[in-house]
Amino acid sequence: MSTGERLLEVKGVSVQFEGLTALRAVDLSLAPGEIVGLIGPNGAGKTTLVNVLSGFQNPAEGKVLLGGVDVTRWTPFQLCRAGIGRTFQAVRLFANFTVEQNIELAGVGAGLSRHKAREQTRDLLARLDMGDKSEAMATALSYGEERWVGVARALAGNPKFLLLDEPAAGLNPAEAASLIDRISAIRRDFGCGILIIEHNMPLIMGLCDRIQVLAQGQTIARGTPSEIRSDQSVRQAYLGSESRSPAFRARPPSPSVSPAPLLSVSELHVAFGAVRALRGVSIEVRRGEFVSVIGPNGAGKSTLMNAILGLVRAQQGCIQFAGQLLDRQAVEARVEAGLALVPEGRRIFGALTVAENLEIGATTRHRRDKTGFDIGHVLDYFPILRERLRSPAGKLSGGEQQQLAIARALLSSPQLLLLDEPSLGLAPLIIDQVYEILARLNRDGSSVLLIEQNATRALAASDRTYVLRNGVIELAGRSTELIDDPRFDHAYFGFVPEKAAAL
Amino acid sequence: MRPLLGYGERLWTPLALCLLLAAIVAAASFGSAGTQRIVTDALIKLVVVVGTYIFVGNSGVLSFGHIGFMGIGAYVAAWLTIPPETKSFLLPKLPGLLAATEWPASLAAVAAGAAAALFAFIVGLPLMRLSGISASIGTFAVLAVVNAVLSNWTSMTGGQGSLYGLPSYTNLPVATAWAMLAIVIAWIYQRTAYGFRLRSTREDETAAKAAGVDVHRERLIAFVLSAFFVGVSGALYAHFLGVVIAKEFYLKLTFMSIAMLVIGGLTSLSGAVLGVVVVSSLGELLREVERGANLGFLTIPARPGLQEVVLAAALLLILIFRPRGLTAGRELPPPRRWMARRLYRHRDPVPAHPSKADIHGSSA
Amino acid sequence: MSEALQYLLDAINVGGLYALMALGIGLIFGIMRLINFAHGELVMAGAYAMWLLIDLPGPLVIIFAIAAVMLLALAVERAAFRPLREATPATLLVASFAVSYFLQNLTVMLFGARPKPFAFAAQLADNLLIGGFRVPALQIVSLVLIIAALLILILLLKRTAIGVQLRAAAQDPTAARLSGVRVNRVIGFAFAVSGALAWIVSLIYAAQIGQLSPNMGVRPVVIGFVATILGGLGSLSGAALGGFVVGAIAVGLEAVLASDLRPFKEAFLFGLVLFVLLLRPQGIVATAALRERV
Repeated sequence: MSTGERLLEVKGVSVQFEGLTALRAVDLSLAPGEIVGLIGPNGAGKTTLVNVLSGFQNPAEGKVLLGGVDVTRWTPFQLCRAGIGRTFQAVRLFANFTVEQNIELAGVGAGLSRHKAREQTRDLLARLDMGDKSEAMATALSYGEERWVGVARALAGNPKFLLLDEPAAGLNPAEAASLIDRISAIRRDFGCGILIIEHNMPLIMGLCDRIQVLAQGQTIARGTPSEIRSDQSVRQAYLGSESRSPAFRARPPSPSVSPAPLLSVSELHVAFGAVRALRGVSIEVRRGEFVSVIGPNGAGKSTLMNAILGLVRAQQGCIQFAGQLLDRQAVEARVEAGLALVPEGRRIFGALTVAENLEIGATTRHRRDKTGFDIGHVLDYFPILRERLRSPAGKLSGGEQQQLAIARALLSSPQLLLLDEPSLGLAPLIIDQVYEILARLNRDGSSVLLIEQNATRALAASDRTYVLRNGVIELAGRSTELIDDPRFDHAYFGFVPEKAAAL
Repeated sequence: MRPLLGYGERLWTPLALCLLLAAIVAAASFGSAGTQRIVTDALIKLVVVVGTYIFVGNSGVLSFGHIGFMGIGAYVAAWLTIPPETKSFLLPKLPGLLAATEWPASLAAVAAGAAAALFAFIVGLPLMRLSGISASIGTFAVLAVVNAVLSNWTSMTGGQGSLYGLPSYTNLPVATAWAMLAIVIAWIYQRTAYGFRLRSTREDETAAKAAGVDVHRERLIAFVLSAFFVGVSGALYAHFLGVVIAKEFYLKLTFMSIAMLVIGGLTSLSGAVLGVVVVSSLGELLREVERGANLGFLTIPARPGLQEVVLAAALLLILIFRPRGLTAGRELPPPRRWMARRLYRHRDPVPAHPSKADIHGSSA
Repeated sequence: MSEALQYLLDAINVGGLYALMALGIGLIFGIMRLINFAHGELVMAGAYAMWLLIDLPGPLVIIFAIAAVMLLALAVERAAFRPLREATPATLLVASFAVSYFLQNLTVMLFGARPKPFAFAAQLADNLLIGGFRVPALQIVSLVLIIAALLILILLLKRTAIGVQLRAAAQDPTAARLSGVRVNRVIGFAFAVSGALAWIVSLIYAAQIGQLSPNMGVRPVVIGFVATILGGLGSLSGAALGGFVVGAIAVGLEAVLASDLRPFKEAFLFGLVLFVLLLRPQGIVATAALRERV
């Protein structure tokens, strides 16, 4: 029975970044020996909450209490010494240190001498079954080993509370499954309270005593795994709400879809260091089609977009566009060839006026024949921008910025318009507007490739959909059929919500 | 590149570096007085660079301000060692206590280091809160402030004029002793928990904080320790030249010390030493060429400025092609045979129960 | 009254000069996150160019000198900074320091270390009589040049296509590339413009001090650097503002400080930099590219 004396608690915490509310009056408590899962779609504020707990983020409101003591304004190293250990999404090992030195450092940080810290390190490595790796350089490890060293480093500080940020990210299913045993063993052997942020549902459901669900900065559900599994609001938070407009229920097929593929991606492998973001992904977009790629966080959707545009390099596989092989072509060249991306987060030029933003979008126009979209034409699609031509783009609302970003992309007269999470951070009514514009564009002949976390919208808007999870295409097909496909939930979440999963 | 666990590794690097120095110095002691002066000058620079390395190499924060500490050290040495008669002529407004003192140069050198260290502590308290490029810019501001004060505080420093009359204390043995001391202390520091913690902040500041490292404190400790040695080097320089001039302690020396560090390799002690050796040697070679040479059939005209041009070009090339420096951040590796022997000695596990080999006798 | 007017004129002149330096530095920093110490050597090169070309007719000297400085700026970008595009800010800082040192000493090698008299446009030293006041022609000319330069810069950045591209790339280079902006061209444009700004400074500054020397660019670049920091790295209007503020402070200090404290005004300026850095350590260099996400 844990009293308030031994809890790690967060009460009424709110955090704001530049007008965006990352957390809104969130409560959480963690007792020693508990394993609590923290889940929620992209942008829910999970990492921000962990940053507040570990001292990297000061909340605008609310308190953090450790054993009843107010530690809200404590610095990260003070919290570490008080018993809070954490891992990072990006692991952040000390690259020029060996494995042993990485873990030894945490012991030294907690106040041990180097000698004692080394002893503790040998002990830990043996317990975690990694003794043979102690002298390897941190950069020479596989991704799974790297993440595990990160956990060992957090444990070396003798934490009472362990905060794990996406421990299973980038791991293959077998590695992820073994995490359940390993983390349970940590709870058993070290007795600490463990908070896990994860998107890997089977892991969370199999491991946690209780689960808290965040969406858009607020807690929307709490309970045991089986309660959360059957909670419809959770499912909706992930998949997105349906549009209220009836026009979206039944989508008319695209008028003229030619069978020849405009874009073809085959067997694409993209890795960042030891992280395999895409493992053999193949998709296709035909001329005139509206294709969407949906999937949970960390699936690799943005990586796919970036690879198509040339912002990241693929290790294997090939990308063909309009008959050309896009191998070493620079980004600028791909844009001239007819690809246009509306990036995640919109990334408009806030310091420039709306008109200047559009001018930038039209940069490639003068180098080609002046067909396709010109500014007047584009403003027909986005009348609201016409009124705001002289305003600095940074002053526009979220929805207007999204429209501007799309308009800017259109001005390069693309053959294929790519959009990365256009609904992120927008209110449902605004999302309606944006999707209406996309539908119009597609009807008028533009080919569209869309990636979305908001699966419901994407399915309603597109001709065909791919479900991408963990770097692999799990399911593909006509959007209208996919919604009702019994395999969908498993493909998206990795488990089936309504049924009790057999462990 | 695997680090070893034995005592051998712990002592090898400073030992080898000191031996290298000893060899160079021994060779120079048979040379002319001119050669000895050249080597002494290089040894003073070594104290500067190793001192700077203690902070820059371990924290990863590039400092442009250390030559300011050198200037402070030089002036403290001047205040403490110029004979009172000369002092009263050069600096008539100097406060009575300073005007009357005349300390032995060795003591003054330590005082110079201490003064620089104290200044570094005061300035470092706020400055070490900055990270990355802001910190570097801040250290540059410190250099500029120190230079402006030293150049203009006429009553205390003689302003733009030079202070002369310092006893000549810095000869070859003295410079060598200080250089070796700097190397040994730098090595000891980076092996302690303090140096270890600081180096983790160089690798990843965020992860280090989360692992319990007080970044501000560790940086401040290194900053003060490095300032001590650079302050001492200022005194050594003053006693070497016999003259202290404020404008010496500004951009030219800063560039040279940074170039030496970067070319040798910012993140290793061996890099700091190697950088000094390489750049000094190259500099001497070029100085000969600069003077112009009469090779009998060919007269190369004198071209002052050549040394600096080549140094700058070398630095740029290193930055572009080998940004981690000549040593790429590694320390001097021990000789192989010794390494293998040590390796095996530490690899054998101590048996918990007697093994068969122990009972029946090993056949190995 | 006339003294106050004199101080005002001084402040605008000095401030304007510093503003031009700060803009030259700020332009490059905005687009490359590089603090270009070698900008001072562009100023020096302008003075030496005018000295070398002194026998040509006036307008030709100006044209060729501007061209020479712009070419030097482009050469420096191509040879030293382009290979370092992906390097850390600290590496870039050291590299620009190296380029500066290189150019200074190359000048020593080619022309010797001794200062030479600056004879171009010697008429600028004359005094004009305006409304009963004696005003050096140089002050009027520099005022005109400074205002013209600022206006042309604003025009370039707001009205030309490449100027808009520059501002976009300075804010978000990836998004600019995604719109097809050719980043290399834009960077070249920035360097060329900074070269032109440097030439204006070299004319005014060399005429003011009456001589040229290999290390004449050090003081202006250091002051320009201070102005950029105060005004905010990454913001061009901030850089210009910083320049005027520094000029006003410098002139103000000259007027206000007791005579024995006057030499310390540089120490004061740098102390101000430290103060600003400490108050807003994230604020000054808080461009998105430099902020780390945990």
